[in-house]
Amino acid sequence: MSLLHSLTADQHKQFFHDEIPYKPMGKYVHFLTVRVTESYPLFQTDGELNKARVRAGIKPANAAPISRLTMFKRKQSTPERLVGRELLRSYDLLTAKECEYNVEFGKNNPDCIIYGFAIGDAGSEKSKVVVDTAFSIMPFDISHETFTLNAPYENGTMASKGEGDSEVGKVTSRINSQDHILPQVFFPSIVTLKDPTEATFLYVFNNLLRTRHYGAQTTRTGKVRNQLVGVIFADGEILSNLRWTQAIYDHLQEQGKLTTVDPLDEDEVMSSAQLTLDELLSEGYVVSTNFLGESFKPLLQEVKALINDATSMKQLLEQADQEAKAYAGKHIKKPEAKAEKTTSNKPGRGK
Amino acid sequence: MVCIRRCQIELHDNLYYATREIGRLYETEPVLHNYALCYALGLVDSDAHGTQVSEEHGYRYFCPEQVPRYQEHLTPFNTQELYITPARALSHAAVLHTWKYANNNYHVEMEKTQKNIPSFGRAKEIAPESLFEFFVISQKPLALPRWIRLGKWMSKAEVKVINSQEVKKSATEQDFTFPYPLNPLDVMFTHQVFSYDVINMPPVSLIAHARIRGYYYHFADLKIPAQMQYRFQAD
Repeated sequence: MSLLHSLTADQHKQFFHDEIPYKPMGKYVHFLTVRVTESYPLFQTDGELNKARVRAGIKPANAAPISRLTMFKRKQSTPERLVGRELLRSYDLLTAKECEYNVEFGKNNPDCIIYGFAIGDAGSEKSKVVVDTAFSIMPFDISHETFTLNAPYENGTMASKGEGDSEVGKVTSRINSQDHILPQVFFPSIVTLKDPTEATFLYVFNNLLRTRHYGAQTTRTGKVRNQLVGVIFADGEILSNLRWTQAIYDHLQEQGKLTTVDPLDEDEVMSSAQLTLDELLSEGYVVSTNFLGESFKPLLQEVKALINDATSMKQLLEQADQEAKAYAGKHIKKPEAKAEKTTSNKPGRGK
Repeated sequence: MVCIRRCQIELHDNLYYATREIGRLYETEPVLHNYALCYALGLVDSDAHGTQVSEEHGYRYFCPEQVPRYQEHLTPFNTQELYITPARALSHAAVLHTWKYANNNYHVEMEKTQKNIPSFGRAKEIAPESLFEFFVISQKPLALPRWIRLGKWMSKAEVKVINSQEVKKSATEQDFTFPYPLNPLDVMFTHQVFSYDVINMPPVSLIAHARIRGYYYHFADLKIPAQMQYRFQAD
């Protein structure tokens, strides 16, 4: 039974598998998104924001390197996974006990099968979702700001009025500073799903649309919106995030839209993202069906309608769950009782 | 006649794999092992390249155990007379990153670790836009993918064929030096290897600047050892 009606029966057959295959079969779907920051997120690992020094654009005129903010792949895929897992739990398809992220994988639910897991002796499932590091279009120096943080007293000031054991009038030294990414910073990013079934395609699509927070979670400031540019079904890999970002930079520069004072205009970024894609895709060597611009609208509308409705959402999750269970039953061998459970501690794939 | 292609790989993302593990530091050497390249280029267990392997060792999404199957996977390359050399860096930069495990709970209390294993560490990775070079030696023409994924993070990289040439094996065995990395297992059964530098990396350390004696292919101004094959045991 098909959930999507904006695709023809032939397209269904061409793009999706009937069941999750156990071998890579060469079907790919690429979700093209521009991740737009809407508050002040933090992507950092070593106490400072992640950045990379790369060429500004593809054109020889823009060959000089700039520092760009980066969003590591695991910082993109982890929140998306967690959103999916939360939903599975809220629809009673997964209990907190059965499967806990990076603690105890259930190995038979859509999250484990689609995004993979690795448990030392008990085997590993390769992730079917692959994400690339995303790079900001604009340079690091104009995409971040240093904030001073303080922890005021109950009275709202930094001077004590005698709270707790403190001395009246004493000024607190609870002050720190932290770099934050500014709002309206754009990260073009392609999320690739290998060998989709219709349900796994929708599962990943839903995770992408619903995830609104990335980066350090405790700061409560990581609002990021995934603005979808399109979906491409292909028989191989398409361009990289870096190439796409550099092409957008070139294009915006040509149009004279790169100013160092104002943030980029979202409409201009989106139209530039789409225009450059058309060009870059024509250089590739893959057979693809592109849903971009006008042709993407009906598909996106339908997916949005599907995931906005409790009945169809439940149906979709159940479908994905059944497929995952069927796959696990068929292809994932039960670990032998003697095998002691150990968790691999090397950095895993795509975590 | 064989066809030799000089190929380049440009990284479009950070590349990480553990060449060395020094406590909590995991270091990536700017050399790509030829076994790894065979997998990354999609040549293993491929119908298109005639390198199918037995069902039992098939390349699957689910791996029941963490045991590599290089011998089973790479021996079919020899019957196809297909060989990939290790890749050396033409230009590269390294970056250090800290990684740690994510936790799903709302509230985390620090507990004393039960096991003596790290939950965080630092990884030395190769930066985007680094450039690598390797050679493909094949009897038949073969189509390489333009985009591949490398290393533990499955980092995207672009493959370009720089030039290709049809070459014949040299008529006689000669002494020559090959400046770039080689897999010693793959040359030592057909060539005499006199001296070399070792590049330490599992599972088979590579050698560079090898002075060797044997047949070779003349490619551009290089002498590339001929008859290289994936060998795992003397027979």
